[in-house]
Amino acid sequence: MLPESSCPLAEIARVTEYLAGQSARQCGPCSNGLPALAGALGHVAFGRPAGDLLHWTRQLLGLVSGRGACHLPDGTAGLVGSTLTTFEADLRYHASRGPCGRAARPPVLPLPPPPARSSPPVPPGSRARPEALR
Amino acid sequence: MSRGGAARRERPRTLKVNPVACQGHGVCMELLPELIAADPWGYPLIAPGPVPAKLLPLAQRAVNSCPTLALLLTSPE
Repeated sequence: MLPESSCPLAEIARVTEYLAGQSARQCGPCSNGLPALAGALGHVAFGRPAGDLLHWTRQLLGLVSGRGACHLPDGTAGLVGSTLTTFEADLRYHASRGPCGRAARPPVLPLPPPPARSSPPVPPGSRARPEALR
Repeated sequence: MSRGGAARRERPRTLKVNPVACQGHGVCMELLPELIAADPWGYPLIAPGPVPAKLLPLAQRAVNSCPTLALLLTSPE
């Protein structure tokens, strides 16, 4: 449960960023769409108000939902979609005045630390595939 | 409801994408813009529902032309 002292948009933006990082990068709509969705929600939570940002965020939900081989994009879109519905008042505040004071507070929802990068990250668009399948 | 051979031939067919195989070459949307559009990253967005009969040959051509064999024309059983 989120305490009232936390900003739900900031909390879910961080979770979305984490989920985007969990993509197996097998499907284009997921490996492109989830980082875009995380970026858009991050901007809603932490950035300056921008005109069609909310519209773009909602559009992205439709662009990732049901378009992956697994359900990571669906689950992520579900989480963000219900956040946009449930926390409409916060959304209105952020959209008109920018980040609320609570957005800068330390995170409440626990997230695993980002993995230490031992191997170079797979560039978007390329696939980690066995040599035999290339 | 089966009405014999004729009905079988008219079974509705749907376009599907194998999301793992698709690499966004964009051939399908070039060949069948009536039913396939590009998303912001160049991957196909397919119009829902069965393929209209008059577009079936074009749909089949798009399926045959996909460089990664990711586009499928399926008939629900």
